[in-house]
Amino acid sequence: MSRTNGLTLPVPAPVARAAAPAAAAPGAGSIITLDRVTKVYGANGTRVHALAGVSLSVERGEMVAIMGQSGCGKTTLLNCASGLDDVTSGSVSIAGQDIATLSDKARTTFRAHNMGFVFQTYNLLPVLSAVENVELPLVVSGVSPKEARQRAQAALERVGLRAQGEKRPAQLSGGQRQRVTIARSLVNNPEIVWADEPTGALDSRTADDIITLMETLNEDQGLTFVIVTHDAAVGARCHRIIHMVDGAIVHEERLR
Amino acid sequence: MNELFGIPTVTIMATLVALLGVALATVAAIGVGNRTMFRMAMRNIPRRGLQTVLVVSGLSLATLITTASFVTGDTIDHSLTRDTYRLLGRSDIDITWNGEREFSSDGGAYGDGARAFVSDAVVPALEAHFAGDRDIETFLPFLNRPVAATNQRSQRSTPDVALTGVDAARMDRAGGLRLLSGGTALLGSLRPGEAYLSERAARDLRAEAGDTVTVFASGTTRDFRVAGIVEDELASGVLGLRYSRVPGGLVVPLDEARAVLGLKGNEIDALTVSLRGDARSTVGAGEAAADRIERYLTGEGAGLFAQAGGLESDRTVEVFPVKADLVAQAELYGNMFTTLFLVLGLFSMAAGVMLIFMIFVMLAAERKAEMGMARAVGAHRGHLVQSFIAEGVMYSLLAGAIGVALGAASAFGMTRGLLPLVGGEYFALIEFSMTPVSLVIGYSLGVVITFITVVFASLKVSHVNIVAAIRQLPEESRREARRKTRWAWVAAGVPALVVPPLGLWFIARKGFGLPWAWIVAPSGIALGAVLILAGRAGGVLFPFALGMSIIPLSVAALARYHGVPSRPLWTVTGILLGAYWLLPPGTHDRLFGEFTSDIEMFVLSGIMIVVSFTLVIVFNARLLTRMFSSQGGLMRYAPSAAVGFVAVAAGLAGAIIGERGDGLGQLAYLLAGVVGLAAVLAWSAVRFPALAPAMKMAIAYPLSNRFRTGMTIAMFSIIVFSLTVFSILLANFDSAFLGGDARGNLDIIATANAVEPIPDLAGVADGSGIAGRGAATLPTGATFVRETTSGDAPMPYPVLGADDGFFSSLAPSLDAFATGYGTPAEVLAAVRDGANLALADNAVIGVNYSDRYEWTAEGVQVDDHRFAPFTLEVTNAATGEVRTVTVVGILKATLPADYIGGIYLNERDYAGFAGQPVYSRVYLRLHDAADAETVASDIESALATRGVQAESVTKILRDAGAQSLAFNRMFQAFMGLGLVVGIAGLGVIAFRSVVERRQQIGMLRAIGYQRTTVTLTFLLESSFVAAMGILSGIAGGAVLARNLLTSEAFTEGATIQFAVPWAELVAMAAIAMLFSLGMTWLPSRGASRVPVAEALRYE
Repeated sequence: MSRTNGLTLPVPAPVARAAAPAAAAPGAGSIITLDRVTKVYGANGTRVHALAGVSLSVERGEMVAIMGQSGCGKTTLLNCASGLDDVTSGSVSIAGQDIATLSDKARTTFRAHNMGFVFQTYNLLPVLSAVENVELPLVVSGVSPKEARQRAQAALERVGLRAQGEKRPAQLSGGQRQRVTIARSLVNNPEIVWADEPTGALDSRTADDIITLMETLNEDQGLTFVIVTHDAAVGARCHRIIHMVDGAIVHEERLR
Repeated sequence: MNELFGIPTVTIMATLVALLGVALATVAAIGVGNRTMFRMAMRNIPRRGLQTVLVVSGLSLATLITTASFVTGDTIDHSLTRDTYRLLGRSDIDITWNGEREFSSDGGAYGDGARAFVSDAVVPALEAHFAGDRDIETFLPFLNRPVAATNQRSQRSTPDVALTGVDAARMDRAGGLRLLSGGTALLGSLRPGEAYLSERAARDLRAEAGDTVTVFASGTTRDFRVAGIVEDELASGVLGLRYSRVPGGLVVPLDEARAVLGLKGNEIDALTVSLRGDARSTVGAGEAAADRIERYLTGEGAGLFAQAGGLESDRTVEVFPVKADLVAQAELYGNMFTTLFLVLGLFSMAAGVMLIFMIFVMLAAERKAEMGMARAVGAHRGHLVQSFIAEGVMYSLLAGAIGVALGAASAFGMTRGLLPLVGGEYFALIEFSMTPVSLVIGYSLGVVITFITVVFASLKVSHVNIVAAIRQLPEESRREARRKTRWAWVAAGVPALVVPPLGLWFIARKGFGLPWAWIVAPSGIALGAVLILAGRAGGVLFPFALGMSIIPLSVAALARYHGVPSRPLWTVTGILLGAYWLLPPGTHDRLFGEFTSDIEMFVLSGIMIVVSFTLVIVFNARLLTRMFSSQGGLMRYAPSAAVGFVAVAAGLAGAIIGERGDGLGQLAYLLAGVVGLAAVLAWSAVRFPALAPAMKMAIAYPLSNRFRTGMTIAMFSIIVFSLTVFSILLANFDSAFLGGDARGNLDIIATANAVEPIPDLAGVADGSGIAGRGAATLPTGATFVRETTSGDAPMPYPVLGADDGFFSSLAPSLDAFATGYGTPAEVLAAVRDGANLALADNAVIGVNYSDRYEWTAEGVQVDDHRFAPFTLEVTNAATGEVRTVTVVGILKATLPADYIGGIYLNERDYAGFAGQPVYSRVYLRLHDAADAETVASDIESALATRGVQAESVTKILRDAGAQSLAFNRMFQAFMGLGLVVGIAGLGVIAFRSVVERRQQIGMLRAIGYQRTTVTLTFLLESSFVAAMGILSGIAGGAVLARNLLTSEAFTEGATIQFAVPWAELVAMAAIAMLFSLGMTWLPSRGASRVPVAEALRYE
C-alpha cells in the first residue's frame, strides 16, 4: 500500500496481457498504475502544471470515472495514462509495461493491440462506412481483410449495430455513431477502453443507453473502462469515482 | 517592346497604374474609414509565417507570368535591335536594283542569285544632288561576290567567302570598319595585297592578322595578307544577322575586288546610304531620307541608274530605310513573343486566379470562428469584405514585387539558359534586357488581377452563419428562396440600367429578391444565345463555341436550384461539354457550318475541356473506391482483375488499330495506360491490405469538398492540357517536317557559289556510295508566280531548271501528285519529257515551316496525297518572259526554302523561260550503306577551293530542328511555369487538410496508425488530386491534339501520322507528380507529427 494525495491506493502488481478478454471482477489485479505522474505544459515562465504528481491504480475489470471541473486535468490524466501524451515525470504502467519509456512507434503498436478509445466527438471517418471504421485498427495492425471484416461485424453485433454496418457515419444518429466508436474500441479485443466524455454530445436517453452498453461490456466481458466525464449520472454507474482538482486527485468514491 | 495587341505599351502601363491606384485607394479608404477592420487585416498577415509564405508565393504567380512574358519580349527586341546596329553600322538606307535584301532571314541577304551590276558613276551623281541634305552624309558603294579561300598557315579552306569591295575613301569618311581588337580599321591604310577579314571568315579559316589567304575566283588565284580582323557587319561583307548562315567577308578596296573578279573597272552591286550621326541616332531619320531619295529616283533622277549606272531599263531601283525597318521588325518580334507568351500564359493565369481564390477560401475557413464573433458583436458583412480586401491587397503588393523578380529571373533562364543550351550558336545573339515599362506593367497587371480576384473571393467568403461559425459547425446549405419585393430598389434600378449589370442587379436581386440561380442562369442562357447568334452571323467560332458552352452550364445551375440531384446533373453537363469540345474532325463543320478561328480557341477549348473533365471527375471519382475491395478469398482480386481486363482490352485495341495515322490506336494505348494504373492500385490494395483504407480515404476525402478539389484538379489539368497539346503538336510537326521522311529521298546537297558553275561531281561520286544525282539552277530572285485561277498579282517565287538526272536518277520522293498519274515515277517522267509541266516544293501547298516566300497556292485541295493539276503563270522579271506551267507533283523534302524552294521545270522549258540553265546545285541520293556526312565532307574538302559547299540533308534538318526545338522548349518551359501554380494549390489544400483534420489525425494515431501511415495517407490524397489533374489534362490534350492533327483544316493538307511523344508526356507527368509530392511532403509530415493528445482536444 502507498499513500498518494492523501488517498490509500492499491499497489499494482505486474500483470501479463491476457490472451483474450475474460470476465473478471474488480480486484483481479491492477492493470493501470500511475506513479507520481506530472505533466507540465508551456515554457519560458508560463508553465502550467496540468498533473501534479498523480498516482493511481486501476484494477482489471474495473470501471472508473474521473470527474472534476473543466481544466482540472481529467483529460490530461487520460491522455498520459493511455500513452496518447508524454508525461513530464513519473511512470505509467499498463499491464506491467512501462509505456512512458517506449518509443512513439512501440507505444502506438501497444495502443493498437491493448487499448480502445471512445471520444465525445466520435471521430469516425466520414468517408468510410461503419464497418470500415470499426475494422480500421485491425487493418493497420496487419490483420487479414477477411478476418478484420468478420471481427468488425462481430464488434458491431456486440453494440447492436450489425445491420447498420454499411452505412456512413452521416447516415447514423448520434447514439449510433457513439456505438460505432465503442465497437471500434472493442474490435482489437483490448483490455482497457479509455472514454473521454463519451456521453457529452448525447441527449440523456441516448447517454443512458451508451453507459448501459459500457456497463454490460464491463460486466460480461471484464473490460476495464476509464471514463472521463462531467456527468454525475455516468459516474454513478461506475465502480469508482476519482475526483480531481487542479491536476491532483483529491477524493475517491468507491460505489461498488 | 512598344505595343501589345496594337495598344502602345505606355498606354497599357498608364491604365494599369491607374487601376493599381484604385486598389491602393480602396485600401487607404478602408484604413481611414474602418481602422479596426484594417488593423485586424494587417495583424493577420504575420500570424502564421509559413502560411504567409505560401499565400505570397501563390499570389506572386500571376505577376511572375506577366513579367516573364514582357521581359522575354524585351530581350528578343533588344537582342535583334542590337544585332541590327552591329550589322548595318553606318549604313541606314539600302538602294537596290536586285530586289529587297532580306538581312533578317536565316539565309541572310547573300546569294540571292544573279545580281546585276551598275556603274559607280551613280554615286557622285547622287552625292551631288543630296549635297545639302540635312540627314544624308554619304553614299557607300559595295561589290559582294562569293569566292573560295584557303588560309596558307592553317591550311583551312572555305568554299564561300564574300569578297567585298568597299570605296575606301567614303567608307573611311563614314568611320571605317571596327577592328575586333578595338579601334578603327581604315581601308585607306591598306597596302596593295592586303585585306581585312571579318570575324566569321577568320573563324572559318582559323586566320589571324598577318596570315596569307589565297582567294580562288574566275579560275585564278590571288593572295592577300590579312591586315586585321574586323567585326562582322554589312560593310565587312557579312550580309545577315548573327544567326544567319551567311559566310564571312574578305574586305578590300573596290578596285582590288574588281581586279580579282576580272571586272572592267567601275561595277558595283550594292549601294547604301549613311546618315549624319552615329549608328543608333540615325534610325529616326531613315524613313524620311529614304522617301527623299526615292522621290528623286522616280522623278528628277529617274534615268540616273540607266544612264550613269548602265542598268538595264527593266530593272527597278528601290530604296529601303533598312535600319529603321530592321529595328521596327525587332520590336515586332519582341511584341510577338510577348503576345504569344501572354496568350499561352492565360492558362497559367487562369490557374493562378483559381489559386488566389482558394487561398482566400482557406484563410476564411481558418478564421471562421473569428469572423462569426466579429459578426456576432455587430460587424457587417461589408466589414469582413473590407478586412479581406485590405489583407489581400497587402499580400498582393508584396507578392507583386516577388513575382516581378521571379518573372525576370525566369525570362533570363529561358532566353539566356534554355535557348542557347538547346539551340546552340543560333541564339548567340541573345542578350538579356528588361525595360522599366515592362516591369511596371508586369507588377501592376499581377497586382490588379490579384486585387480583382481578392474582391470576388472576399465577397464569397464573407457569407457566414454566425452560430455555425462560432461553434465551428459545418454550414448548412439551404436553398435560397426568393425574397420580398422592394419597390424602391426596382425604381432605383431603372435609371441604373445605364450601366446594365448594375441596373439588372438592383432590379433582379435587390428589388425582386430573386435567388442567385434565377439571376445567373437566365443571364447565362441569354448571353449564350446572343454569342451563338453573333458567332453564326460573323462566322467566328469563338463566340459561337463560348455560347454553346455557357448554355448547358447555365441550364444545369438552374436545374440544380430546383432540386435535380447534383451528381447525374453535373455529370451529364460535363459529358455534353466534353462531347462538344472533342467532336471528331469535321463533325463540327457538318453540324454547325464553317467558322474562322485562331489561337484564342486553343485557350477556350483548354478551359472548357478541363471544366468538362473536372465535373465528371469530382462527381464520379468516388466510384474508384470500389476497386479497393474488402472481400475475402479470391473474390477480393475481382475488382483489380476487372479493371486490368479493361486495360488489356484497350491495349489490344490499340495494337489492332495500330499506326493507322488517325490516332485512335495511340488513344487506346493512353486509355490502357491510365486504366492499367488503376488496376495496379486496386491490386496493391488487396496485396497490401493496410494500404486499402489509406487509398479509400485518399479518394474519398478530397471528394468530400468538391469545390476545393475541383479547383485544384482544374489547375493541374489546364496546365498539363496545354503542355500535352503543345508537345504532341510539336512532336508530330517535327516528325513530319524534320524526321526521316522529311529528307524526301535526298541525302546531300552540294552548292557552288553564285559565280562558279558546279563542277562535275562524277569523279568524287565514284566509289562514294552515290546512288543517284540531279542538278538544278539556283534561284535568281527575279521570277514571279501566280495561280492562273486567282486574280492576285504575281509574287516572288523561284522558278528553277532541273536536269534530266533530277527527274530520273535522283528520283526525289513526292508528297502528293496530280490525278491522272498512276505513280510518282510517271509524274517525274512526264515533267522530264513533257512540255510546261512542273514540280513544286511543298511550301507551295503550305506544308513546311519555311516562311522565306510569302506566296502559296491557295486554290489547291490535297486529298489523300492527290490533287487536281493546277496551273501557274510564271514570269521572268529579267526577260519579261511569261509562261503557263502545270504543276503535277509536290516534292516531299521539307528542307528550308534556301535549299529546295521553287517551281522545277525541265531544262528545255527552263531554257526557253530564262536561258541556258547554269547548274549550280546538285542533289545526291546515296546507297543505304553510305554515310551522308562523310560523303559531304569528302566532296567539300575535294572541291572547297572551287567554291563547292556540300551538306548532309540530315544535318540540314537537324540544324533547322535545333532552332525550332529551342523555341519550343522555351514555350514549354514557360507554360510549365503554370505547373508551379497547380503545385502551390495542392500545397494550400494539404496544409488546410491538416488543420481541418487534426482531431481525425489524433484518433488515427490513438487507434494505432503509425506516423509513417499518417504521412502516407496524406501523400496519397495529394497524389490522387495531382494524378486526376495530370491524367485528365493528358487525356483531354491528347484527344484534342489528335482531332487537330487529323483535321485537314488544321494541317492544311499535310499528311501527319499522329503519334504521341510518350517519353515526353511520361516525363512531364512524373516531374509534375514528383514536385507535387515534394510540395505536400511537408504538411503530410507535419500531420504525422501532430501531438496526439493535443489533436484530440476539443472545446
